[in-house]
Amino acid sequence: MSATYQPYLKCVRSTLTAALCLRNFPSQVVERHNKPEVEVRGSKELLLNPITIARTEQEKCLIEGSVNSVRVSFAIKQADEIERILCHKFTRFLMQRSDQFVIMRRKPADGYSISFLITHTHLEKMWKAKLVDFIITFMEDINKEISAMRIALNARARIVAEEFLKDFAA
Amino acid sequence: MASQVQQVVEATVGVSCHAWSGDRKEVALCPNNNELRILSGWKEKFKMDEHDMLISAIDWHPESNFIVTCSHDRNAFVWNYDEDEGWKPSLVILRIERAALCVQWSPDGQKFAVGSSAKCIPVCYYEKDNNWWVSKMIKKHKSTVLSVAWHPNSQILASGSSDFKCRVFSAFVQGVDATQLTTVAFGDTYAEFSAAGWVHGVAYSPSGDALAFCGHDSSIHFVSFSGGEPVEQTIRFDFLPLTSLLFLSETQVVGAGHDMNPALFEKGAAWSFSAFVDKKTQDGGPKNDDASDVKKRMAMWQAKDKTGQASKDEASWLKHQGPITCLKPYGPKKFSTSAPDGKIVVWAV
Amino acid sequence: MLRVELHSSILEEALGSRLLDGKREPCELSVSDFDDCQFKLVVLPQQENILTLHVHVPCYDLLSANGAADVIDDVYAGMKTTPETGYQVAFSVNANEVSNPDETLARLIHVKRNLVGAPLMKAFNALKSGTAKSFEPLEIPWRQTESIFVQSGPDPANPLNYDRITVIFSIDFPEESDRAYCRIFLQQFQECQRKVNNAPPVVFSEHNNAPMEIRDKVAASSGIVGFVSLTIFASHVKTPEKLAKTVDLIVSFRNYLHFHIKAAKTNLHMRMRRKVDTWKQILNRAIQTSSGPKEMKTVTGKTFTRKT
Repeated sequence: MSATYQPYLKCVRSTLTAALCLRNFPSQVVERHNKPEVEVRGSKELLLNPITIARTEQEKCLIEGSVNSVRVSFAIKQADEIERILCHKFTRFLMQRSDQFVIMRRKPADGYSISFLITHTHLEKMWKAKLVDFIITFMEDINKEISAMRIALNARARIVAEEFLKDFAA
Repeated sequence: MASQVQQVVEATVGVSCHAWSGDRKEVALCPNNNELRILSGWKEKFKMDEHDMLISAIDWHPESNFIVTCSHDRNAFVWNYDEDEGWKPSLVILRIERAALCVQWSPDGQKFAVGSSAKCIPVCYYEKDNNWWVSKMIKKHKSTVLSVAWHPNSQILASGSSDFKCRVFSAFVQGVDATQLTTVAFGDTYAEFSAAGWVHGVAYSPSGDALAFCGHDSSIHFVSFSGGEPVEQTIRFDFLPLTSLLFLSETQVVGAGHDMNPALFEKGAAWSFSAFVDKKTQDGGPKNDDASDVKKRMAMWQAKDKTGQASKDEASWLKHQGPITCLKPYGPKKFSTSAPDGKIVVWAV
Repeated sequence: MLRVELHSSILEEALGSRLLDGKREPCELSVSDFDDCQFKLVVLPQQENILTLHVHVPCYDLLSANGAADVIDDVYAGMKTTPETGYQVAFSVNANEVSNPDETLARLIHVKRNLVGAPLMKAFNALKSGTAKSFEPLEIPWRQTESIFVQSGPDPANPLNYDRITVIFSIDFPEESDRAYCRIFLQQFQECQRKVNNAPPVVFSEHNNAPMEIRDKVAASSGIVGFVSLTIFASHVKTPEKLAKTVDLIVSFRNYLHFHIKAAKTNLHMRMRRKVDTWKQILNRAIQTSSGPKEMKTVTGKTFTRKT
């Protein structure tokens, strides 16, 4: 892992820890409703300024806070066509399983590869520190995994091609 | 500094709020739903489900022995105890169209104030003629009222709101309060103070000379009224924001919130952060080692399947494992806290 | 392990059991493969020794005019019979009278390879005999959007010396991810060729940059993945074994590529699934669990509380 990666993760971690200070906050717009303000966007004063933490142009993280919910979106590095396809497949794969990943948002925020939506009810049922651990591990892993998959695919293609061409020479 | 930890409900359930009886032998709590439970010696005595949504706050007046509860269902109930029939509710006409978030009895027990998502504070009092709790509205807020605090004279009310303001109002109600101490009419503001974030908590000192409020920007503000014009002092700290405050004395304030560890502020020449109340101890928490071998193994395999680890991680040494959502007085130099981890902790300073 | 068989195993089993093991049982068996070829083995009741194989191959007429007809007369001498409708050619053998059952079996199951390989065979034989220059360029529109181009070419250093046969495949996949994987594979073919001694030169070119030899034959922006050209020299076909091997490889190239793209895709999916499972476990670590006895339900709906 490159030396610039740790500070990036550290920065995301501390921003998340601060953003994940949520409280139970029923809607002040609709009667008997209690919806994530970051999605509803009904009252401006309940939203925090969105924070973008960028490592590179393509690799960044958007943390949008509100009084009772936080939306965390990641843009995953996609260096070429194959990484783009792998990333797309991977995120689609995850979002189809969003019912198992309770905090996964079914649709990523515009311009990002994947989004999480964390509400105060999640924090009531989860250890906050471990939830942050999960998000950090996730963003670390998905980058690594996509590069590893690309390398594996290339290696596989090389072996397949070699095997085929060897037979001509035999 | 001894503290007493009580797991009153499962950690997966949590406590949304609690309140003590005057003699502190009984506690009223809400297990994060629409139920009001009264516990005596940590044993459940009564269970009421008159509300139909989450109970957001409970206050128990020590002298009148009345309990007031308010809920996200827009209603409040005043409960009084009857030897034969137990706790009996009487509905309060709050006249709000949104959820009620916080409630506090005035020190004299004649009135109580409810903070609401309807951006107003109904101040409620008992009308003998109608045998009915009625309300008068304080309307100056631009966003949800997150907390309220009474001045010891029961005629002045402070509020914290998500419009980043702390306000001080007159809450004098003709016919309920004996003599008006000031000239400001009901619902008008005495003063207004700003924070750089949502004002989660507000509290008056026992004398009423000092007011404290805390903002989501990890700040605590102290306002002194002792010398004519109010003097404000702001402290910013580097831990997570506080959500509720309590004066233990004229020179001691305790705050609790997202940091899970109550923080103590003390006044010397000026106010300053003094210490965290929860201290790390050597022996750690009580060990649960009475489980049988089979049970342990079963738990291990279940954990491996579910989490990929053989055992649960060591939990943090803190007594609370979630953000503290409710802070209540508990006698001299003592207070209690509850959190979504299902615990009520009684602290001594 | 990486190789894909040239023939259908189902067909091999059905024919083999009858030719080699003496099974006599009527059947009507239809098999198709990834190249849109169809085979139908018919054994009628009461004539269980007569095995008839009907064959459908795309571009049959074109193949037939370019050597396949000769192959049928030559390799399948005396076997040809009338095909059913929908099939272009049929072969029939009497299992009781076959003198060399192993060899007959091999011939029958490799019918596709022999028919499709016929034009290649013709081209390579021309190369061997030094008459490559007179070999007419040939385009076999093998699939809807794909063709195989076979043509001879001169040595760039000596334009009069026609010393090579170039086989160009135009390759297409409808699905976007398949196209991307395909591109990776074809690039690797081009790369690897330099490392393998005596391998025929392989060149992969994008769809908008067709090889010079066929540039005038393909539409400018056909939207396919690209072209891959294999250049075969006399050294690749100098012995009958090498010739047969080279034809085998070229005939199976498209299927080989297809198979490995799908295999790679499956492998990546398994990887993702595994990773997702570990993430789920990490997230589960964050979820608080109740420590007390849990109320559970049996399959029949009874509730019980686990005490242990």
